[in-house]
Amino acid sequence: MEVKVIFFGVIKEKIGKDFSIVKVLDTNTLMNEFKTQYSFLNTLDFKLAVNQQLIFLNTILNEGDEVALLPPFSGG
Amino acid sequence: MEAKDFLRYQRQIILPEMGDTGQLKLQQAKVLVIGAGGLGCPVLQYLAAAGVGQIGIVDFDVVNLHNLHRQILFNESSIGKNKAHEAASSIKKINSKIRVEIFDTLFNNRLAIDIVNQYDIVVDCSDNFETRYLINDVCVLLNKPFVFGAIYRFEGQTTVFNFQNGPTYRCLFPQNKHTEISCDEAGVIGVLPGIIGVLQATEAIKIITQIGEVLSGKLLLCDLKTMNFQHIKIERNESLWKHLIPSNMEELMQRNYKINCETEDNIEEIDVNDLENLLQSSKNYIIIDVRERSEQPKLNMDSILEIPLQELEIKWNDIPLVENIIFMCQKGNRSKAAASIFVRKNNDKKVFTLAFGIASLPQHLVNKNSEKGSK
Repeated sequence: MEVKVIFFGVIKEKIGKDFSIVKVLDTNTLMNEFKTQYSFLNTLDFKLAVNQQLIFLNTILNEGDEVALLPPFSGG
Repeated sequence: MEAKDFLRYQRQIILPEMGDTGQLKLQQAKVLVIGAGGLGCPVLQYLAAAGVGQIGIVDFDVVNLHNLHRQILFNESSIGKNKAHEAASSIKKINSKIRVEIFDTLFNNRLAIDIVNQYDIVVDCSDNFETRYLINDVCVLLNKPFVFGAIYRFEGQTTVFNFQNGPTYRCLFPQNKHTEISCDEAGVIGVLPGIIGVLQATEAIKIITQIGEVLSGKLLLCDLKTMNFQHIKIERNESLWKHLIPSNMEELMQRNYKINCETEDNIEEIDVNDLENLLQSSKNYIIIDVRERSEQPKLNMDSILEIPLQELEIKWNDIPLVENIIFMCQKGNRSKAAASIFVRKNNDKKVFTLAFGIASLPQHLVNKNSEKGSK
């Protein structure tokens, strides 16, 4: 399934782009692939949203889904 | 309502949703603003202008020149003075009718327990995760809504947590496992906290006046580079955090909100008392000030080496390996980053960092001459 993965904050900066288009079956597989490709993600606490809904469990992805990688911000 | 008050607020009173009733609700409301920095300034400015009856301001830090590009309640004569006091005098000029309570100390467990219950709403304008988790937990225990705002470079996040049994910060990030990235370190575009702060003030006003739909259950993400604004839906999920928060105020008082870095065994965080003891008992110490060289106040101690955090990767070798190496910055965030860099380079060396930084030091440890008019 082709999904759009969008990045925020420090993740966007380190990856160097706003989004990626990826072929992947579910969020766990997606994260495994990303953590291998971008090792900084292994030490960062971030959350995933699928189609603008925060998720905590593995989620099956469908064609055209949007996955967001959300790091916490602390600045004020 | 007095005639003069009616005139002052006339343009919002004539809104059908607001009316006299809404204005009266604002006058009776008590809002606690934690942090009078980039986010806190616009929040305070608009809440004062809107006529919120009682506003509490918490900030222990002093105004620096590099704050002025975004912390719009301050001016050049504020430099070196406490932010809570400066913000208070600034908003009283906007609206002399409101009551302002000043807390020029750190927002710690004790203060949280003492003051949060006296307010209806908390606005989280803090700049570190420790404070954000403390605000979350005290608000959950006291059943207070809190308006969250956080910024990073060109991006901001805002939402209302713990509103009518809505999600909390721990429904988003259950545990504090995060590395701090402050505006001082990462940089920030000056208008960003203005935008996010004004959105926070808007939500506070909506909660008080019961106008519209409160931004609860949705995290608003704003990217100023693209002007993309989008919502992420969050649900309240107590199973994620019920076991993580203190079960009552006694437990909250005992809770340590500092991040426990398991890998950083060689870094010990000390407070002001530990520091004074250390300075008195040992001559064998060096203080590494990792702030930018322009930051105020300067330190009034012996053996100080100024190495801004960004230069540390190159200059770490300049630090003499004396018994006690103490890293300091303005608020205690950058010094932790500096200590980790240094410990990585000198594997066995144990070092100290000053919790809550130079802003928390008593007068005699900072150089009064550099404070430009501080009391």
